[in-house]
Amino acid sequence: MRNNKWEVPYPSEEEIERQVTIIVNQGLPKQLNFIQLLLDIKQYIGWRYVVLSYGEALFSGFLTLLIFSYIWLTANETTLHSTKFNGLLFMLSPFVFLSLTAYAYYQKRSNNTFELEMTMKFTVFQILVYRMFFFSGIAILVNTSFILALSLKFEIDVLRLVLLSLTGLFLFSSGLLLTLYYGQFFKRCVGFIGAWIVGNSLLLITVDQQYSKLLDTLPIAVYSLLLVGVLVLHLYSFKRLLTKSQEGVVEC
Amino acid sequence: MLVVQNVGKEYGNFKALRNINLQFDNGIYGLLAPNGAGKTTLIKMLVTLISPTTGDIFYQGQSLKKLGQSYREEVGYLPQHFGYYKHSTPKQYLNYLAALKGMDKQIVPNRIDEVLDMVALKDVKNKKMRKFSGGMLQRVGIAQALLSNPKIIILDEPTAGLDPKERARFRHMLSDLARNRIIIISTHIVSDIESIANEIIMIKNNVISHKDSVVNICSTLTGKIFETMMSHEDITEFRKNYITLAEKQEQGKMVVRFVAEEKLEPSWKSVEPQLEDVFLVEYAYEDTSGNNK
Repeated sequence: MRNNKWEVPYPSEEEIERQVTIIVNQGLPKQLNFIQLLLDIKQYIGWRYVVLSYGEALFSGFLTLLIFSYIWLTANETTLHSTKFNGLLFMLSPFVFLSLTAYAYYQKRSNNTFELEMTMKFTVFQILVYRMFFFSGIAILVNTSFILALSLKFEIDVLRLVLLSLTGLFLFSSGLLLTLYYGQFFKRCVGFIGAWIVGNSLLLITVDQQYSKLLDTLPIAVYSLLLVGVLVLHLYSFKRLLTKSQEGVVEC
Repeated sequence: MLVVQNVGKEYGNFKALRNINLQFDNGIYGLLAPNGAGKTTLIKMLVTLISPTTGDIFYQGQSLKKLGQSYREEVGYLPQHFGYYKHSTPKQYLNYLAALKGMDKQIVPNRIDEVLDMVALKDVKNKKMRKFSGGMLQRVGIAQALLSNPKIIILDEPTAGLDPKERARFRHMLSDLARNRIIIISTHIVSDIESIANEIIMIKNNVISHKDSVVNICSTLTGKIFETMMSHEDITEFRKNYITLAEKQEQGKMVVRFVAEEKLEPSWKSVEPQLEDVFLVEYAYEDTSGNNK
């Protein structure tokens, strides 16, 4: 029997807290997770604005052709088996990826469309990151084709060079994506690219013998493991950057 | 409803905006201030391009930071410097922006025709934009801001480059759209908003100095605006003592519109204050960096 007929059953503090959380969660718009965002971008943006534009293809194709022609023309059995070749391949493997990304970014900046496109549902920053993922794919194709082409003329360890090139590519792109995450992207990216070139060059110059020997003698299994690790890092940084809050990104 | 709550923006030691409190319901709001006063900073915060240093902005009760993508979906924005791809046609560019806006692909072609028709560019939708005049490009910018039928339209200096006929057309279009939308227009051209804005917001010294209807803002100068005639020789001396708002030649003399606390001369004729008068008085002693002289 109730002591006071006016007493109204009142939920506990915990129950109130729980109900408030449920109401707030249901009321707030759902934040898209990584997979939903990828599917959404694919549905609304489609391939048309993700694949290469003529300008990007021409610019990157020309630069790539220039560098690869130089390597091809100067390559001989001695240079290919010299200690520096593996190090150079590792350092230059992100070149296609980098030139495509830089050109895509430059186009937005030079046409002054960056600001407007940052206010869209899918920001241009997210689209650039999304495209960088595809640029990696194009870079794999170009780099691998080049190594295969070299193998037709010279006796080289194709698998080792492909693994080395992929590791260099994904290590670089992961680093670049992580750099972008922390803002001030122009300065930071220039710093990262500079650090990549200087770091690798220093290794080639100062500890050339040991560095190249290491690249040359690491077992394929270790290379494969390294590549898997770098791929995981790449996916992680890609996901992190794509789902990053877009508010205030242009201040970077 | 869009609410700006205690918002401030600092760039290092420079305070671009301080303690801004605003509330926007459906209607047209004119953000009026001279260049460099902080209009564009406020606009950029409203479209999430930059984040406030202090305070927060809420839409339908939720912080823009939390809403993110779902807020951007509701916004149509025309930046001060509208960028475009020179080799694209308006149709191609609007198609691209429609994709970024996440619009339903089925409705996009018709909607592009509609908005281009609204800005009288339908006939040139397949022409390269590199051949367009400044006014035509600005109209493409307006079209893209309207493309997704947004609930909030934010326009930064939208009439730059438009001729008088286009300006009038633009004002009519906005009046029609404002029935069920928030429209915020940033400008330093008083005539752009005087006849259509439900409220005028003026920024001075990095804070809001006025937020009211045109009539109420003008009434702050009732009985203080006068016109008088004087010779060319007298005007230089007169300018030293009064803020002159307009001067024109008439019958060999100067007709001067000016502001004074009270009528001191019988020849002074009291006139109705206009928004332009308030603007000129408000900013008469302010330089563009927002500091008082």
